[in-house]
Amino acid sequence: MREVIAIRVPPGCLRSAPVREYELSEPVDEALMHRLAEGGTLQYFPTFPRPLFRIDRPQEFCTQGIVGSPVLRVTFSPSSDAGTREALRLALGGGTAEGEEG
Amino acid sequence: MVYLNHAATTHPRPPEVVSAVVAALSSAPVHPGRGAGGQDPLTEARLALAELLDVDGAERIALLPSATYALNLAIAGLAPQPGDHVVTTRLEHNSVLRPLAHAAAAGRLRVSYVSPDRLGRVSTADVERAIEPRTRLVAVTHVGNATGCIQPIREIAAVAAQKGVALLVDASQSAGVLPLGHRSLPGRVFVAFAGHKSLLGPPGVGGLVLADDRLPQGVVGGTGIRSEEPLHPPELPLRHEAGTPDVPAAAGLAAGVRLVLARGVAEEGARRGRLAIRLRSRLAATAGVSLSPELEPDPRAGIVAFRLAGWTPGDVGDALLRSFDIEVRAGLHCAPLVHDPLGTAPLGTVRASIGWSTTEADVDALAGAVDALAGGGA
Repeated sequence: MREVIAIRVPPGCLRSAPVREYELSEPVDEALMHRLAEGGTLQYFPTFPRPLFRIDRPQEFCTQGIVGSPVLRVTFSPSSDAGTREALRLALGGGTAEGEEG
Repeated sequence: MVYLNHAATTHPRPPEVVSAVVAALSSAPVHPGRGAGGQDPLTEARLALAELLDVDGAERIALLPSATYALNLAIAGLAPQPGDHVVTTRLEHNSVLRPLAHAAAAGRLRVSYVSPDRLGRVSTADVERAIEPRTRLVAVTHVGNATGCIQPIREIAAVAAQKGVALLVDASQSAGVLPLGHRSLPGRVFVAFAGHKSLLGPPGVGGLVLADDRLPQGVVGGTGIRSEEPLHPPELPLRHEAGTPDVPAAAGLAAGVRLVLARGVAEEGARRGRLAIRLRSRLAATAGVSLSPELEPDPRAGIVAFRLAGWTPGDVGDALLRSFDIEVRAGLHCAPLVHDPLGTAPLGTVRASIGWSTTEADVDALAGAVDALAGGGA
């Protein structure tokens, strides 16, 4: 079963940006991509060298990733809260929460 | 991979550099005073750098662990008294801004920041206006690392010299791409450089071109000579070099600088400029792309910064790397003050930086990928 195994602050020089990398136990597939996009807008680039998707869930988060990769990049909206993060974690199958060891 | 992050560090290293590092690691130690003698990579690096930067004497080049170390050493030594004043610019890297901020926070000096215009350039007149009676130092980058904009250091040197103020030039982005001509710069001019960018060397070595032998010493200790004396030798270049040096890094730097000299600085700047123009024109034709700065009349540094509407710079960088295997850099580029004047705060830009190995195919690959991202997907 897919679940979150790590949540990281991605490397970079912007500590203030609310960006996290979610690493899952299994790669993202199109079914998960469409599920995450419910209630938001999906941009999908299936013909790219590695198929990229972007999902914008207003007031919650914007996420992007590669179909076939287990890593999601998530930028939380300034109006998001702990509930948003928990809902995302559950949508990804549960597992590690932010601040826990993966 | 398409590597367009040469302003951070060059990649791949030329084979001559790799061979020189391996040879130095594989050979018996040769540092004067500490080993058996033979060819000394530190002296070789100094000689090659003196030729490249047109320095009057190789002993005026102190080899240090990095440009950051060199900038810290110079700033601490050139504005040491409480109440001293320093003029710098909003273009600077944190390797200048943070040493100044620490000294200011400790009450040791005051700092004035000159803003660039919308083309990313500071004006010499603004620098001159910022100089006060207690100004001891003007610290300015030769090329803004976030923008690629070339600064008028010759004119600024003339102003600083006329006012009797030392000038510290951060040549981290320009050394190896633009001529420096240290010998002909008027006044008391210090130049910090990084070895691992356009000088093609390995990380772990940079340095400081010294205007004279009066800069106070920072780190002191073993030098391998005159061990019976209680004080560190005062003469150049050992005055500023303490501890066992990174000989393999110096060997790699020497090899890199020799390559730069063989390729020709003017030729390399012109080549990078052509590639930057090609990339800028392709990006400018892409819907949603805004270049920063919008115009660049002298793109020899080979840095092209941009944003894409609807995307954060970080998301663009992530998409380019993960989907297209193109490495650029996204964010503030450790130059946090430049983004307000250029209108790219708070998230910064995507920065593509061209290096010795960059080809037309590389910049075309980036332009095509950004065009595809701008297309919006299915």
